[in-house]
Amino acid sequence: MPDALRTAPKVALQNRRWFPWLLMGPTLLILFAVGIFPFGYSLYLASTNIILSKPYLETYFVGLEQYQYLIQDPDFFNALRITLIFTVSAVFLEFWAGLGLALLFRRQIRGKALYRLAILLPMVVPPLVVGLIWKYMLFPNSGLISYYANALAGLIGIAPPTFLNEPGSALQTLIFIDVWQWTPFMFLILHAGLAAIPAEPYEAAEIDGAGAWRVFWTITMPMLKPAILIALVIRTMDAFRTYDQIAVLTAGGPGNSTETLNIWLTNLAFRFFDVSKGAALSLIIFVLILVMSTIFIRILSRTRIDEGE
Amino acid sequence: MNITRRRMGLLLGSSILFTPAILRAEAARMKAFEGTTLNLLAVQFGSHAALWAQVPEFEAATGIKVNIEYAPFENTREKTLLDMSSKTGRFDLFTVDIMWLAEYAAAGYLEPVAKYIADPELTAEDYDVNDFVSRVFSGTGVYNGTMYNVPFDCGTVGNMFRADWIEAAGLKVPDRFDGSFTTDKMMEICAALNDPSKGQAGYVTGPQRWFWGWMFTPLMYAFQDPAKAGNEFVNEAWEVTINNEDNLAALNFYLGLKQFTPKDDLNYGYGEQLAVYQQGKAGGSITYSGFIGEHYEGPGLDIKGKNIALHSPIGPKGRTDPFFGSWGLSISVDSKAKEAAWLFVQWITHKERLRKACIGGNPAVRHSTFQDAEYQAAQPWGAKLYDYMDKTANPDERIRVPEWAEISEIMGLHGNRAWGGEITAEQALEAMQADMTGAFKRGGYYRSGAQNPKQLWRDLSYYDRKPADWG
Amino acid sequence: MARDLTSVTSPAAPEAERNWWVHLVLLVICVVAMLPVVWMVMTAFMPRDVAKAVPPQWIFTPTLDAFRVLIVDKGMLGYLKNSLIVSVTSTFLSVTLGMFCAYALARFDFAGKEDVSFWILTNRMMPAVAVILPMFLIFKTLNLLDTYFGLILLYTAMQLPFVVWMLKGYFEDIPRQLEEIALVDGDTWFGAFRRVVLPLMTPSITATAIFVLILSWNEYAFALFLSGSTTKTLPPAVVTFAVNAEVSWDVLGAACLIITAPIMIFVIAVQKQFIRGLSMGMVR
Repeated sequence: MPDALRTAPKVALQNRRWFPWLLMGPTLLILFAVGIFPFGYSLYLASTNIILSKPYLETYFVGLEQYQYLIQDPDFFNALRITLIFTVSAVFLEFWAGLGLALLFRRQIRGKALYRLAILLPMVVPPLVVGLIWKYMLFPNSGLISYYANALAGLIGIAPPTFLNEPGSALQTLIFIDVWQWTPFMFLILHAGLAAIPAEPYEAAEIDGAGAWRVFWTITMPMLKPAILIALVIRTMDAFRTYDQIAVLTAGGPGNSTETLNIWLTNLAFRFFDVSKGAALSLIIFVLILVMSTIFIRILSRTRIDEGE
Repeated sequence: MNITRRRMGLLLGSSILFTPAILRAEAARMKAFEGTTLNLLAVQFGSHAALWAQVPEFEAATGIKVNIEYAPFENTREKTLLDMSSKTGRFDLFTVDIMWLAEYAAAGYLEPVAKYIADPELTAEDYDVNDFVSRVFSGTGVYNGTMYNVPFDCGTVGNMFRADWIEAAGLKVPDRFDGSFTTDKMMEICAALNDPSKGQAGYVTGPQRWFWGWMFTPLMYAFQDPAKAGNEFVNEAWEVTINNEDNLAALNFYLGLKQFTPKDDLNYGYGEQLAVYQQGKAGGSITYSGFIGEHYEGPGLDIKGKNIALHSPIGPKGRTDPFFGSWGLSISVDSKAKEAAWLFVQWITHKERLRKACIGGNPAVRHSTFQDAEYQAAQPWGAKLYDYMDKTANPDERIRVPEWAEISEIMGLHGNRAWGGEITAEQALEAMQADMTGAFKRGGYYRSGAQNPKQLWRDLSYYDRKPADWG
Repeated sequence: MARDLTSVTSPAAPEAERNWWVHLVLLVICVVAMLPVVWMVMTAFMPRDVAKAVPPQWIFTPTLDAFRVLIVDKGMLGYLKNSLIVSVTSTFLSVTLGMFCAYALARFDFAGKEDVSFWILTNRMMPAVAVILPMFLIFKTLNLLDTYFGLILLYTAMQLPFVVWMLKGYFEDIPRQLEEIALVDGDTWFGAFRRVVLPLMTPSITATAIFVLILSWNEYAFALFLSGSTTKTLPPAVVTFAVNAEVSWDVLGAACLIITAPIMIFVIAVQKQFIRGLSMGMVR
């Protein structure tokens, strides 16, 4: 420990103007060192026409042409649409499932800890492994799920489900798998949020004779808002960038029906090695996430202030 | 394996007794780079296992340490290119698929090897480079007149059918190269083997978008009018010609097979279609000949011994598809130990090592291996390709341009959409035509004064030059 | 803080006996949540032909063959060691450094505070794929490719925004007066932080560390390109056995088990602290 910290007068140290910067120093330094170069380099790449596998092509400054090219590409809107469908439906389903579970856990249940543990498991499994397990379970004929689904469909006399092998159902299957993996996360955060709500408002509501439905919307939901927003911000940011599971399960197919922005980016940057377009696309994705997060954080900080009053 | 090793030891022992001087010189040559470390980035293929298993012998003989980093096929190209383009020099050696050679070589990432072959200090006296099948050697290693690598795996794409089922259906089992396996015959067999009531498909393939480059291309060649051969993808002026009537017929044929394939196969890749065939739920399937030993005739498989290995069907205009696949071992231009790396290349592709590897499942690339009785017994389907790889196969079937990876991706995307019924065959070819034109345009093919590659597939005798004659 | 935050029951909760349908619902959910994991574990112990049998086999004689292949032939324990080194070190570093940063953002008022904290978050918004190429070039220049140091540095940077944002909220919830009392009593700043703030924060820091450890342990994209034969971690290693032409499902299952088991056992062991730590910050 530096002497300054040990011998400083009682109140002086934390009142020095540079003190918070000293505390933040290492973090900012690392983030700056590791973060700023990729960002600047991406900006540079996006302003040229470099194809990594073709160093012999003449490269020159192209201004904003790469962005323009991408935005005019119908593939961009296809990928954006799929990313939005994926993100919005997955986060929506995860939220309501997680909230329902968290509410269930407010009841007196024997073996609660055991249930909770079982429910948490999917969240811990690496996304890559999630992709592999589900690929195995959905494998044609021999997979656990496809076998029993086919058998069941045969029994009832309907067409067997197509899972990953039809454009519509492939996206739905991916969404389901995301819900399977990340509902536990929503549950965890909302469960923690519920734990923090004091008992008094409920007691008051009981005296008023309010119904369960009204109690939920007028007390539980407003009090839970901070937890809800944390959970939504983190999940939306991550769902938007989902990569491992999709890459393993469909790699964007059939056709380009599950080609999210992140998968398309990987194709551009690591299949065609068109790193300039890749960089431009990654900056577009960055801006999209930035805008989304700003909106969320606006809402988040507003609730905090509301609470303080 | 044990017996072979003991015999090798005996051979070695007796030669020490009789030719000490030569051997001592050989030992000195081998020890020249003692203490060096070589790093190899290798594709992870089961068929190559018997080759790499011999590396410890090399390490013991030379004192060179060889680290092999395996990459799954799906990541091999991206890992390789990222490393090469950043000029890290982290890997001294790469395994290179023939379809990527143009890309790597055009970018200047590979070290020409002819000078090493000619160097008696570095190459074993009995290396016998002319023992490599000429077309395989030249086809795998030559780009723009320069030799960049040495092959250790070659083969072709073909169909596997259940011979026992064909017989049971009362049909005559065709044989590879007997001329009877035509597109009509294939349809007939698939129809005969198709029995949905038993959950049995006539055929299964991998229509997923990443597989069209090698699963559909053979059909394009089979259907091509021999008079127009060479124009499957582009004409002599590099104008894209993929949207032609022969390719349309080929695509319609391929889509026609869909009536006999499993209903939910739209996202099947090679692995899925293989599994369905292995499960006994399909009468025919598609493969690369190098995989047959492991995936179709491997120990413990229910289908072992029940298959007939066929080529792609002969087209309506009488053309047999000349598909050529291969893997070579290349030295990185940024390697700091190129001579030691070559010492490894010539050692591992030496007659005796390749013979051993091929008995253990690796495809043959040398005359001596093809003619070896033990290899013929171990891989009869491979031995049968000897003449074909030497005389018929077209190393440029997947046209040798740096854009190949992109072209195959374009074919796959639109082909897969046609397979799913999202677009028609005509629309798919139109879209391929448009996107491929874009790819060539970006590649600078249409600029005035563009230095485009030679279209060597129009005269394959180019690839028949003897290996030793590449200077 | 005396309330037991791990089991919160609504004041209006019905008696336990009336909850049979809750058990039913929870059981169904648990089966859905556990089945894939259970099936993965079972597959890991299946003989090879059982693992790809049609129909799926529930009863079989377990074997350790797949583990033998992975551990003896493929050197899986080496990758496990690399994963441990990289994820534990980077978790320790990011939580330690991030903690001070979060504290500063929560406790002090200074110009540009909001901007700094938002800038920190933006570091988490670039898609990983976009960062790989520039990172690869820097690593090459600084000779960090295939080194523990490089991976640890990268993972630390990757997790710092998460740590800062998680802990910032928790620090804000600790009353300022507690430290001020300690300072008045003659403690140094660091002494007050260590003796007063840190004990209160331990559960939240633990919970954050667990999250970060899970994320680092599971990271795949960077590890695939930036690690090499000496530092390869488990996720890229698993892919070499899994994404091949013909997959041996038993080996895949065993590989998945080897990568998942350590982190899962760890989370099971610390789940009480995990959940309590997460709940802490929500109490205000």
